[in-house]
Amino acid sequence: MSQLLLGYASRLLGCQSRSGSAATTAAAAAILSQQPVRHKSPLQKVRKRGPFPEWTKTDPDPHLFTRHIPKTDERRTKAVRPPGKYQIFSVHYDPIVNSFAGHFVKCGERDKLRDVFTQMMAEIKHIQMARRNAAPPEEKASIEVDPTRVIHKAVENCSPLLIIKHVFRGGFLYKVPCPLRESESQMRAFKFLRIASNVRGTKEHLYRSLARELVNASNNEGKAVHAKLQLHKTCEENRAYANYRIT
Amino acid sequence: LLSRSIANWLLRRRQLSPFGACVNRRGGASAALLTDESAPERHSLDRHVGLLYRPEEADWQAVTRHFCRPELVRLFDTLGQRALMVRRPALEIGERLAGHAGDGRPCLRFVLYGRRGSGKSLQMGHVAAACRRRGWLLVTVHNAHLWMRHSRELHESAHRPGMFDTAGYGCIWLRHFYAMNQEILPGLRVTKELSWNAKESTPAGSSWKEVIDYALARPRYSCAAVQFLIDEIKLGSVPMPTLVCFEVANCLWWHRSGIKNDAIRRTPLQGEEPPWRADITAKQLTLLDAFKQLLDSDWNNGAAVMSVSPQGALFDRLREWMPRKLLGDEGFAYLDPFVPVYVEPYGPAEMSNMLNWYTESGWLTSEAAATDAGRAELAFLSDGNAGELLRIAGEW
Repeated sequence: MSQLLLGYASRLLGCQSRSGSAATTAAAAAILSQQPVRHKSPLQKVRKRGPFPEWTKTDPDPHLFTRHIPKTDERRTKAVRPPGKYQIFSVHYDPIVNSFAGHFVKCGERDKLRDVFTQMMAEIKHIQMARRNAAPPEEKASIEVDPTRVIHKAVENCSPLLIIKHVFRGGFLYKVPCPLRESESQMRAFKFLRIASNVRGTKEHLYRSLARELVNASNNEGKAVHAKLQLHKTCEENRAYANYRIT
Repeated sequence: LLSRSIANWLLRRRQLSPFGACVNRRGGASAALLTDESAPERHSLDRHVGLLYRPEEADWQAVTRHFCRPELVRLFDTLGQRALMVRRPALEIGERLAGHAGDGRPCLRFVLYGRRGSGKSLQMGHVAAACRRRGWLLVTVHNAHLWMRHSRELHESAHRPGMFDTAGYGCIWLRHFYAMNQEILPGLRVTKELSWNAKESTPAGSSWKEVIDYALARPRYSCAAVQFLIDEIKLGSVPMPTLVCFEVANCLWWHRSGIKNDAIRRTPLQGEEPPWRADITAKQLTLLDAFKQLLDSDWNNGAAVMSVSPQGALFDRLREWMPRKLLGDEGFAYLDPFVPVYVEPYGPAEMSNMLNWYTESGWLTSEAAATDAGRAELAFLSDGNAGELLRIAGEW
């Protein structure tokens, strides 16, 4: 278990620039270095499961599936997970944008959301290009116009390193700062962005408010990044209870 | 290589997209992409088809921008440059119109049809810009289907009893008409006396500008002013030829609209909650009926270019795009005979040029868009539809 903690700590220290504050990562590492309390039953079986590796296409031939696959080929026996439902083998496919879109789906209407996301990415381009046109020459190169890269940066800036989990102990409810898996951290980022882009009533379309929020988050401003920083602050305040963590 | 032979086999079997041939960017020269000819009336079928041209500022502000979608106008503002494609339908119509005027021939009617997003309005814009440069009078209507979806104010008409006036839209249209024909209008005079009501009238021989100014000052009479000006055009008192451009013309004969008539009740349909108010269709709106008169063939020295679109099939999710289905019996009989002009999807050369322009202007920002596979995917997803390509390219 200490190996895992060291792994978390090294990951935190390794990605300092993500949170934008060396003090936060140092504080996080300090919180995590405290040993958690173990409550595991001796009868609990621990079974090694996946995640299995994803199939990586080393051969970019589009007619892959029409080819005869020889018997000795490892594709016949290698254990891989099947592709996701909305994973497409396209040059333009991006897994983070795809997961981000899935986070907004309501009532299974993902097709409707596709149009919203198309407009949203065009809106990001409009915002950033207008900003780039108005910027002085020395700043023009630093303004990112590609919507996929803007989304990546925004998600990175909104991803928390620790979250608060509530632990009930001795009649009191404690807020305990805990580490996150990468997927969970990404989900938290999506949630911050979604809530930050909610506009009351029909004043603004989702694509417009979401584009604005993503551009702000990629510059470390805005409501979503503020929510993440508030979370980090709460974790810092409750660092005394970090040893109450159940991992 | 094995993969190349399989690719060729599939291409021959037409399983690959027909745009496969266009994905390679032909030599980086912009000379193959843009043409220096910015005057639409000088574009010719043998030299300029498939190339992009930059419209002049005066043409753009007065005419062409009204025919473009708001998304396209915004794209041009963001990129800081404008480029429109020269395509076959507009040049064919332009060729017919060049020799048409002034011979006493009746109004020649063209109906542009094609799938939604194929580029009908922009073709009309090209024809309108060319005619304006030749000195024609332009009468263009862009939002008829929107006028029928929402009504700002509705009054019972005084100059046409039993019908309704939409004063707000009349004023907007008169302002738009004046801005489009600013150079020509000072020379035009009214030949009849126009009586607005029992007490007020404008004498014969007044300029068209006076009539428009009167209507803008008294919005109640804006639809009447439009009717009077259209009567003048049909009488032949206008010395130059007239071009009428009507977008989404099929809404003039549509049985539904978004405007309800409180005065008329009818029995409710099964499952509907009473009381049910009748729709006020284009037949009962003076403004739209006036423009419909211009689409008739009983006047000389002019031409009419219309488009039919599923957008005019109000409150009906019509998938049809052919003129006969969209116009219906009545509309088809009214417009018959007309020249149908099909606006086809992009061919491989046009698609290649369009992708090249999007890349060069900097709108396609992803690295995938520069690769052959990316371009093939863009061509496949849009299926040659200009509007779809514009929408999808926003993502890439």
